[in-house]
Amino acid sequence: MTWPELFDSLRLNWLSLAASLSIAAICAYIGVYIVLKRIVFVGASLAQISSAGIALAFLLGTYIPWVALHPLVVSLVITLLGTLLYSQQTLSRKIPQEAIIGIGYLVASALTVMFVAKSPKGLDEVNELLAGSTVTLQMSEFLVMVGVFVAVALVHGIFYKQFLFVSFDREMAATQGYNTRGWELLFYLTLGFTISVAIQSAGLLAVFAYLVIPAVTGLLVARRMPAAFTVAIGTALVSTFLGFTWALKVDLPSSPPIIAVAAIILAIVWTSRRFVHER
Amino acid sequence: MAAATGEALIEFTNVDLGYGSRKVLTNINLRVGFGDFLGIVGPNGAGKTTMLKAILGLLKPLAGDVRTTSEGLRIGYVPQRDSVDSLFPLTVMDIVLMGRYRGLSAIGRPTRADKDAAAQAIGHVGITDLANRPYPNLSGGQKQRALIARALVGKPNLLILDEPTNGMDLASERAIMELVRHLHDSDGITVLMVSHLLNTVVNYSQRIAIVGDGIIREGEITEMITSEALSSLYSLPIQVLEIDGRRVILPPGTLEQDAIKHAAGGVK
Repeated sequence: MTWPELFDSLRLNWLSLAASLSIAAICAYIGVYIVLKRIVFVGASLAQISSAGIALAFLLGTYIPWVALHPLVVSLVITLLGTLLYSQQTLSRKIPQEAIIGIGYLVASALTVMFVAKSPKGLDEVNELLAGSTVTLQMSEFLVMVGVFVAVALVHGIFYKQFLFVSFDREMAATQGYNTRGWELLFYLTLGFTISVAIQSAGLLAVFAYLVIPAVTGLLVARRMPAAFTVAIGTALVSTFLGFTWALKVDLPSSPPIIAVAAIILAIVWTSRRFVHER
Repeated sequence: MAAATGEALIEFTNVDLGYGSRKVLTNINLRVGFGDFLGIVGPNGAGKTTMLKAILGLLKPLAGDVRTTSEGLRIGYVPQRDSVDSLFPLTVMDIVLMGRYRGLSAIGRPTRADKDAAAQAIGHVGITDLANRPYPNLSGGQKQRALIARALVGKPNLLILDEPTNGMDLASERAIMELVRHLHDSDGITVLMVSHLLNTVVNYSQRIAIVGDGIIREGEITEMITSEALSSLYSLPIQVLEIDGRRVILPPGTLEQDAIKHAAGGVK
């Protein structure tokens, strides 16, 4: 593909690029909390649960066609149930929280395979939806997605101090009168909404990568929270634009090149930081 | 030194504490008066943390009555240093400002006045030059000062410290304890300190509450800290000595205690 052809291709695919950039920005923002709260695998597990919800929607579509046309609804309900489960800090005194997260991931993965195998839709079509494809995104879907992301961003913007305080020092926040369970639940709900909506377009792999890699990059270089958010979002946007362009140029699905670029940026930052520290 | 008045800052009457149906402490009667410096000690697992949670209002009593002062209890809480996450990219100022969040509305942001109050609290604990330093880069003693500043910025009438000198070297431990003593003596702040370091607690507190065997015994240091009482509590032969006006508690096996036994003809 020549450069003018690539430019034309970018112009033609502006909606899917805009969708990818929106997903990148919101996931990178929330990802900073996910990494700091040490709940990276909650992100992975919720993404898998969300995928299971999409697969379930196609299976249910045999009996209720409307459900298959709007898989987001089922995915959202299933994901929100997952967020309710994971937002409980002590489900069991005997079982570590990470074991419960792992079980959730495994069960969701197994169910996804079962639902897909029994789905009346073509296997390729379902797999494409699970992998995510912003290319087939409609304007109406894009607007819904952006609407959800703006709402999540507003909640995080308005209640920044609550989310920060409860994440940083839950006990102290409780002594200050904060309803820590309530704020944790609200955080997980915003995470659930974000993942459910993002995964439909970007797919499991990309969403998980957006939640982790840019946030780690941001936290490696930042000395303040606003800087960590800015660097995370910035690297996510740059990775998306470069990866998306790369995918168009060599005719690849968009997620792997985007993740590759994000990982390269992280590697450069990490190496430079070590080099600077050693000097 | 602040004088204790008649009204209690917080008072437990016949309180049972525990989790679910499991009682950890029973029939607690504890009074923290204005101007007190109370140390809470006890073996690991005795229920110190349970007691602390109840005072902080994080654990509701299973039975009994907890009363607080009519002028309003304002707790400044200093958690264990290790329980505060060092991964977050926050400066000392960011962390101290958290102590002002209680006074802000749900959507409010810290104002100039809040930042001035935070700067004042940071100065009060002697780390003005570290105000904009990332918290993860601080030493143990500096972190502890930052957490004390966060507790002070809300103008508390009760300062609660949980294991404030845990894991510190002697110099840092002494510096932190002198700071706490200064806050108590000069600023009149009531102090409640939980620690397993008996030697520290008995030399700084005025009164002591010993948690053990499911109950709490409270009283003056002189009557509570005796060889007999501590030996019974820890089920070990413990010696309490007084050297230059300071109490020294010696567990078995220390050279000093062996020397005492030799002198008494107790060791062959």
